[in-house]
Amino acid sequence: MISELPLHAILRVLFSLPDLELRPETEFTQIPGWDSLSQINLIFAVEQEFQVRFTDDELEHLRQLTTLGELQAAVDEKRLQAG
Amino acid sequence: MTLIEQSETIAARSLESDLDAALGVEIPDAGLCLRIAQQYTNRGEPQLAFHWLARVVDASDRFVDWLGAATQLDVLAKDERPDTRRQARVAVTGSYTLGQFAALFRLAALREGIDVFIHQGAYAQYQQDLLDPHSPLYEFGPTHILVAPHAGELRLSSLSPNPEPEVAAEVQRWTDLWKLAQQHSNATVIQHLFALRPEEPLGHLTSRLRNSRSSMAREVNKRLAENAPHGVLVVDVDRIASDFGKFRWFDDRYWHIAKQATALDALPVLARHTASVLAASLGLSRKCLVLDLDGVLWGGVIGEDGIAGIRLGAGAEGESFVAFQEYLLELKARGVILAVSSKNDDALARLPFETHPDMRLKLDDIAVFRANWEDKATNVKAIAQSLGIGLDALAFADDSVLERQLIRRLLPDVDVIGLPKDPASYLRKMADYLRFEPAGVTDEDLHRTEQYRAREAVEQLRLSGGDLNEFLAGLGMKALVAPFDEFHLPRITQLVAKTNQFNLTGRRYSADELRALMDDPEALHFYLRLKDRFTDHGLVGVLIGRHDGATMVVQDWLMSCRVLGRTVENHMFEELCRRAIALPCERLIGQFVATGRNDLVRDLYARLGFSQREISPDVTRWEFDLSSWQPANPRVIGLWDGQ
Repeated sequence: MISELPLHAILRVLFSLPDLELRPETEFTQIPGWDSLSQINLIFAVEQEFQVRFTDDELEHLRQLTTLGELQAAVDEKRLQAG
Repeated sequence: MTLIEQSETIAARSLESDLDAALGVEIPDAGLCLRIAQQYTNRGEPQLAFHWLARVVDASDRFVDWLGAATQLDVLAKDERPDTRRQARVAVTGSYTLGQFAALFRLAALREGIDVFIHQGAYAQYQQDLLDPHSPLYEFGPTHILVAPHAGELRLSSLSPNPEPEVAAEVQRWTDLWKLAQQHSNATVIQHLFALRPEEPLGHLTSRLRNSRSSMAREVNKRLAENAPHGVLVVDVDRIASDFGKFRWFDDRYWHIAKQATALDALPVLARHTASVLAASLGLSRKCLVLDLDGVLWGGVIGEDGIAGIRLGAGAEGESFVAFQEYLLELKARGVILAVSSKNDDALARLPFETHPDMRLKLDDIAVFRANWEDKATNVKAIAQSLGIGLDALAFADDSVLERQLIRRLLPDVDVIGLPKDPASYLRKMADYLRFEPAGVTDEDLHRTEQYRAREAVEQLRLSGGDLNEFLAGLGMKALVAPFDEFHLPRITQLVAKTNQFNLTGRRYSADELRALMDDPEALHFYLRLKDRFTDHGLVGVLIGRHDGATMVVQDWLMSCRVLGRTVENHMFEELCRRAIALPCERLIGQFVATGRNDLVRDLYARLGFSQREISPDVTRWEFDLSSWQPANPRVIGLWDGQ
C-alpha cells in the first residue's frame, strides 16, 4: 500500500486525476497537467483546506520545494505552530 | 473476469450510485458533480461530462472546486466541444496574472450555455495587445475582448494638485483603448472596472477630497461606466468586491509572490458576474420570472388562511414579503416580465392582489396569471407560449422543493431559482441572481410587460402535458395508511379543522367526536402519511366512512393542499376500495357539499369513476360499483416500510 498524504486528496481534485498514483517523493513537475500556475493554486488550496495562513517568507520557501512530501511536511509544521 | 473488466464494473456501479445520490438532493455537492463528470469522461460521454462540470457552478463558490472543474473542462474540451446555445471567442487581456480567472470564467460561461474559446495574452500586455493591429489578440479573431486591469494600473497620483485633468486623461486613455479594439476587430469589449483598495491613509478625509487617489479612482470608474459606448460593456468589479468583502478580496501575499491582484477565492464570483455580462451580450438573459404565490409573495396559504390570515405587511415575516415584492417591482421596472403560476383557485389567488392593503404587486404588474390545479410544468409552458418566448427565457421561483424539482426534470430549459427557507433571505437570493442582466435598459424593456399582457389576452392556449408520471415515479413516494389512533389524533383533529380546499363536505369534528369513531364498529376511518425522497410530509389525508350493510358511505374525505397533484387521492381511493371490499361491501356512496372553498374537488368522484345519483345546487351524491374495481398496477405511491 502506498503511503497516502492528506495533500493527495487536494491534488486529485485540482488535477482531476482520481487514479493518480502519488508518493511523498513525487515531484510536482511529474504531475500531468502541471503548469506555471499550478504551484500557486496548490499552495492556496492547501491554505484553504488545512486552515493555515503562510507568511510572505514561508510562501517564498514553499515555492522552492520540489516534492509532495516536502510540501506536506511544511504544512504539518505550520499546523503544529498554529496549534 | 480480467482486471480491466473488473475495474470497469466497479466504475459503472460507482457512477450509478453517484447518480442516485445526486438525484436524492436538490443541489448535488461539488465533489459529487466532479466525480460524475470524470466517470462520464471515462465512459466516452463528453456531453454528460460537460453537463456535470457546469453544475459545479451552482454547487459551490469555492476556488478549489471550481478549479477542479475548470481543469477537467480544459482537458475534455481539447477533443470535444460542449453542445451549447452559443459560442464565443474571448480574448482576455489585463495587468495581472489572469490564467486562473480565464479558466474559471470559461467554466462559468459554460453554465450560461456558452462554449468559450479563450485567448490569453502575455502577462500584463493589455496595451501592446490592443495597440498593435497585428497582435496575437486580434489574430485570434475574438468576438469579445475582456479587459481586466487592477487598480494599481490607474495612472493617478496619491494627492493630485490638479485632479480634473488627471481623471480626464485616465478616462481618455481607457476609452481610446476601446476605440482601438473596435477599429481592429468586430469584438464586443467587456471592461472590468477597478476594484478600489480598502486602505485609506487619509481616513474619512479621503471622501471629502476630490484630489485623493481613491476619489479620483471612483470618478474614473463612474465616467467609464457612463461613457461606455455601444459595443462596450462594463463589469462593476468594485461593487462585487465590496459585496464579497474587500479585506478578503485583496490578499497581498499572492500579489507579492504571484501577481494575483484578486484573491483566488474571489475569482468564482468575479467569473460568474463576468459570464453573466457575456451571456447578456449574446441574448441569453432570462426575460420572465415565474412566481409562486403562497409562501413566496406572502406567508401562509390563501386558500386555508384566508385574506386576513396570510402573513403580509404586519409582523417580521410579513415585512420580508413586502420587501421582496418591492424588489420584484424594481425588476419589473427594469424590464423583467413577471408571471404567476400557483396551485390555487383563480379567484382566491387574485384576492390579495385586489384587496390586501399591503400587497405591493398588483394584478397589472403580472403579465400572465395562472392559478389553477394543473401541474406547474403545464402552467409554465402555457406562460411561455402565451408570452411568445422560449422556455429558456424563463426563470422559476418557488418555495417548494418539490415544484422546483418537477420543473428541473420536466422543463430543463427553465432556470430554477431555489428560494431559501427564510423569507428574509428571498431578496438577497434574487439580487444575487445574475441571469436577468440587461444588455442595456431601453424604453422597450420598460413597456415589455404591457406588450406581453396584450398578447396574452388574445392567445388561445392548448398545451400537451409533460411526462408527469415519470416525474412522480421518480419522487419515490411512500404512503402509510392506518386506522385512527390516539397518537395521531391531535394531527387528525387539526387537519380536519384546517382543511378547506380538498374537503368533500366541509364538516367539522371535535377531538372527542373523532375519538368516538375509533370505538364505533360501523365506522371506517383511516389517515395517510406521505414521504418522498426529499421530505416527510407527515399526516396529510383523512377519510371517514360509515358501513351500512353492503354499502359504504364516504362521509368525509380531506387532504392537505401541500400534497396536491401527487395522486395521493388515488392512493386513498384504492385503500378505501380494498377496505370496503374486505368488509364486505358492494358499493360506495360519495357526497360532495359545496362550501365555497372546495371547488377543487367538485369533480373528484367523477374523476374516480363514480356515477352521479342525485343533484341539487350545492350537494351531489355519487355511486361506485365495487365489483368493477381493479387495483392499479404498479401503484404510483409505494407502501411505507413497516406498514
